[in-house]
Amino acid sequence: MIAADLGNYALMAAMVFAAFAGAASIFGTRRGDPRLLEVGQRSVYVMTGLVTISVIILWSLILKDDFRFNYIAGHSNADLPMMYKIGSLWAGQEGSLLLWTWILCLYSSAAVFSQRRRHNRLLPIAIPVMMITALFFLYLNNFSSNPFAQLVAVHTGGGESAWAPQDGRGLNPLLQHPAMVIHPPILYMGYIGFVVPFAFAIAALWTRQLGSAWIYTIRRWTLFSWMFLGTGILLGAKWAYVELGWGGYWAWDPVENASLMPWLTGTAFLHSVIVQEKRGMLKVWNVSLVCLTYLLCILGTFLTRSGVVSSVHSFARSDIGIPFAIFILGALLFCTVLILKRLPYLRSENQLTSILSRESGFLFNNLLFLAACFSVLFGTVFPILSELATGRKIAVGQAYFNKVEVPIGLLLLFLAGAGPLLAYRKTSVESLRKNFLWPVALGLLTIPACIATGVTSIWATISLSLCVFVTVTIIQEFHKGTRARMRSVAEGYATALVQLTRRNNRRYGGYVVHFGMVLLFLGLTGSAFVREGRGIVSVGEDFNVGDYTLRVSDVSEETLPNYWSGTVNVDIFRDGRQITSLDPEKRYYFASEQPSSEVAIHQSAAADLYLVYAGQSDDGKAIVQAYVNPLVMWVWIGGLVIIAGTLFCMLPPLRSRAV
Amino acid sequence: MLPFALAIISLVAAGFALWPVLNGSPAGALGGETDSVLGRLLQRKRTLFENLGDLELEHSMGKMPTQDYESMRDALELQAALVLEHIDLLQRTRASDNHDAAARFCILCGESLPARARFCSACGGKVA
Repeated sequence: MIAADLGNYALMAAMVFAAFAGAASIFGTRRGDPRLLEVGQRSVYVMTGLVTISVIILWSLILKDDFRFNYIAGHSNADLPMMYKIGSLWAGQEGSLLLWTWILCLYSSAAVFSQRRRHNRLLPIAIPVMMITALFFLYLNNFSSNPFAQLVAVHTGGGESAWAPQDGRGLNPLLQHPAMVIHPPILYMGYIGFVVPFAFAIAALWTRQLGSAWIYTIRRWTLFSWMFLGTGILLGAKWAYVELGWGGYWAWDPVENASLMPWLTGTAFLHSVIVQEKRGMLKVWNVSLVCLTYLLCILGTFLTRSGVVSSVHSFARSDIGIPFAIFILGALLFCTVLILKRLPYLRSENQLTSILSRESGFLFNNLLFLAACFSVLFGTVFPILSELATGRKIAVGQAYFNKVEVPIGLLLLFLAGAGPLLAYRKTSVESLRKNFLWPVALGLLTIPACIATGVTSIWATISLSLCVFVTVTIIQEFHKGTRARMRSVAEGYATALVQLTRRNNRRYGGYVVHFGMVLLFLGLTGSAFVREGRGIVSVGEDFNVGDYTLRVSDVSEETLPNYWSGTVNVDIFRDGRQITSLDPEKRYYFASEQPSSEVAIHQSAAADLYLVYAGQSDDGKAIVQAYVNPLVMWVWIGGLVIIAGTLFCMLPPLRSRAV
Repeated sequence: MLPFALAIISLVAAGFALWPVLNGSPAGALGGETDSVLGRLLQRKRTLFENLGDLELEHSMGKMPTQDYESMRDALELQAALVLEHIDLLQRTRASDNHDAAARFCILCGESLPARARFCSACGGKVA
């Protein structure tokens, strides 16, 4: 028990040092004493060290199968593979909130260390902001959701004694997937990363230093967090695709929505901050978007962890809703009042002069992102609102989200192509004609091509047409930029292209991200052409789905230490030729007494064949559910391209001023 | 055993955090290049030069009418000239100063200070 006591002590001491770090920074600033400021910074490092000790202790207890602890008994078991034991640290509420705190501490320390010699005025205010967030989560770790709480046996006479079961209940089978081991930490790195930009935005508002310094400081932090949040969302989608067994990857689940909302506002901020840098405009937007993104990150954690709305994450039900609600409302009130008080310092340096300008494009883009965010928010919390109003939880369903989000998404896709072609201040008709001619022509030509190939969905046709439009604008941007450089510097095409992109890496990295979004939309468009079928067949029999013929060649069973497994072997034929064999599996986990489906997928650029073994019918036949999901692979490839583009944006440019 | 371990951890943690106050050395300056007036100007210069580069690229790609390009470029160049002049003035003042730089610039915000100032007129910080 020494280890657990040490873990608890470290969490409690971390709270003290978090409070001390904030207080020392504030007093250091007020008294102009750099020694106190340094004490504040060092306290952040100490807090991080203490929380790290707690995390290491919890991990060691999980690996030692110490089932005296409620958390470990509830989320691990002796036969669980090592990889999933490590992942069980964030499988439940107590552990994942500890992970939240730990990542926040690491981020805070990194922010303090990297900025300690740069921001004497902003950092001492940013530290208390980060520490208030840390204090809130440390409060939850210590008093509401302690991972070191022990199991007790209550005796009939009223007494209590320590107790440990023989084995734990095990990790939820749905979470026993490699993507699920890395999905939560990566998603959290995105969520929590936005705390640092928020802290610096509040510091800039507080100190009235609303020039470009805070924007510069948070630019890379925001990109970094945005990239991790997006990667986490895609990993979650991949997990849902291969683990939940319903044939899709996105179901507008409240927890999926919770992570999408801050990503949408974060994306809006990454665009509107460019207008502030270039034209000194949208300053109120920018601080508001940073604050909103932070609040949505906390709300996302709240929705995931509180269980106030039903979700595939129903393993995360608890009673921590009230502290979260108080914290979110308090932070919202504080941000609103502070922004309102600082409005005179956030005046725009320029005005919008034309609707056909880059600034307007960015503003429309922001409005659309916010519309997408708030419509998702409305749909997500609608069950709560309906319960408050009528006493019954009513979910809006996927139809609502698709109806609202598809047009907004397509408008955003259009702006991803059109925005970069517009000029700052105003775009002339001549420029419009010159820059839009090829993209619009090729985009429009896609429409008859779609009709000719049998595409009947209007939305899918528009989406494919816009994908072509945006791709052509991106190619055109690279080409015209390279030609412009060749005119001003005597370089060959390839050299000019490399030099251009390396010297303007934010701009061209951004275009790569836009191309990734095109691929993502291409993949999403495929969902309009999904085909599915169900076969109840004996060994040797076959059935058809789309262009595929599926023949069951074997059905087998085996019992492993952790679970029972039933597998059906299916040979896949197309055009009379066997292309592969797939083995969808059904499992039953002993520790948690829960079934799980292990789907089998044949992937290709054109379509995925997705098989689920649904068990055996009463007459002993294998039940196989099959889906043909066109273009899904492009969702994952698009995600990788977005990551590559974001990393390229984060590279330091070769030099600041160049064509 | 446990109380001993906790006492050691507490002492090491508190000692590390409080070291700047415990070691008895006088308050020193903490960098703060970006927050200082000079730091802010250098950052402004970088932004302006980036914007000028972007503007040239946009114009050379045929997105901007020449008239707009020229007026925006002139405005940016004027701002850049003023910023460069201010930077130059600050750097020359620093170079020609025979006294300790910390005595003439606020250690908190980098604002230049009159010879016998006790508080910074910009941020109100006490002059060390």
